[in-house]
Amino acid sequence: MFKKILIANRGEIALRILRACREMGIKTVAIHSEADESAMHVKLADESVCVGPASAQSSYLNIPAIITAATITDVDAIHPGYGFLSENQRFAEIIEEHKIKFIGPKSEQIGMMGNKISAKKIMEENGVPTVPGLNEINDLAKIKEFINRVNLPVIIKAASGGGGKGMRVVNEFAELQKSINSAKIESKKSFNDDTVYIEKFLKNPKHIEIQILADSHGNVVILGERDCSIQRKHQKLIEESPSIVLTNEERVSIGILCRKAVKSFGYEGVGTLEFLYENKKFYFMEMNTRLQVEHTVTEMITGTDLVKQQILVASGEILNLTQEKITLKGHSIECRINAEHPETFIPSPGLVTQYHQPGGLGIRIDSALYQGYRIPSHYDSMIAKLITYGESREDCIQKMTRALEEYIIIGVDTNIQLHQKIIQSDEFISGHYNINYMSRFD
Amino acid sequence: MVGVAYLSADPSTPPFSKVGQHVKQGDVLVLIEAMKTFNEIKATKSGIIKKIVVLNSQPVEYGDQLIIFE
Repeated sequence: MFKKILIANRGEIALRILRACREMGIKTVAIHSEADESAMHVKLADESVCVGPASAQSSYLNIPAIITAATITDVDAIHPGYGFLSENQRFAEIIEEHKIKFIGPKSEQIGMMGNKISAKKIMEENGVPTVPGLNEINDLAKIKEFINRVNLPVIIKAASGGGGKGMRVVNEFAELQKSINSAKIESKKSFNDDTVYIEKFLKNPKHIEIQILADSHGNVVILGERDCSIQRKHQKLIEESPSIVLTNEERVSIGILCRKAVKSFGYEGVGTLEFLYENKKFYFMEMNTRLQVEHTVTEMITGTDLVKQQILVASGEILNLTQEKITLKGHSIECRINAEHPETFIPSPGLVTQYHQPGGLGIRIDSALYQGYRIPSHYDSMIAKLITYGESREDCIQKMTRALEEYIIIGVDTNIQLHQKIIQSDEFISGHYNINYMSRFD
Repeated sequence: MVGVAYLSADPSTPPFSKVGQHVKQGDVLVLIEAMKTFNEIKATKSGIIKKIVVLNSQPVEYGDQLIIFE
């Protein structure tokens, strides 16, 4: 087992990883920027190293500084968390070259899944349903034939894309060439790669994702699904597990396919296969080769600590879970609390003058906030995750309603009121909402 | 708003505003990056720019002067 782990992240996820390490008897090294000297993850770590000035580019994304910090503190593993360098193939590769363990998959597996076209190919080879698409976009006759087969609208996407960049929805055939060109320009600018492809555009799908966990000995388990359809501008806002729309047969059959696909390329670590789901059909979108923000809801209903499992399999241990042992019990919902105005969505960094968090049975808060903390303007606006667990979905929603009322954060704007509106809306309560739900708030 | 101010959309494009330029109400004057989002700061009225106080990629806070109109 590892003796010391460097956590290459900040905020609530750095704290989440630190807590798992502490329970496992592993020492921790925090890295931080100059703006994060008084951050909670720094205060609680066994050691800390300042890796650069406030901007993320010069600190949390500064590979040479992070590797140097790992070397001088003599750690045997690095946990990347989510965001920042967590899906950076080169970062994983450099860590491997330094004989330090990257807590996650092998660097080439990050690369394989990072390219959306190659990821889709692997999934198709294993029978995982994908969105009908066309990679060859230079032949107009082929594009016409494809559109005749799947019907408009279609969407143009960047092969190296993410976060909604380089995407164009095409409703009329006449718009096609213009949209391809502008997607290429945007993609080149954002990802330095102008490869784009065409996919059928689903109008009102749900976003449903499957959590997997794999060890380095070829054992893979599925830990249920998460419905993450409440999202604004491709940023998830509320996630829940299990999904109310899936039957158990659907859950089992998509799970079998995901296991097979992940096994086929020897994947190790935690990972998520993201799908669109419409008219009882799954369409694979992409695989995230890291821990996710919303891993908490899966932990609540499976009773599994995903971060500990991630560390165990990274150290080479055989998975202590079998598929038969995993059962989904109860219901869990997560609300992402952001420091932003609940109506205008304008970000709101600043000093937290008063802080009181809800408690009681079935309430969990993952946050690095404390009273007197100054939220910096340089990083993400997510400041807390409020998670509730209930025997039933109804119970879980009641707990969330109650917890949102109790949560007090004074000094900055938060989206707590927005969450209250969503949680109490008929559509959310029915469970039959889709990814376009949030457009009503724009 | 608290964040980092930028005078152009990206380093390769010309700045939004120049001294002596006539701007209309609603024109974008500067961008302020806060929490990974770029927020457009628009002119609240039409006028001629007298002075640009803020520097490119400079951190700004509530109450800071960015641009002075004639």
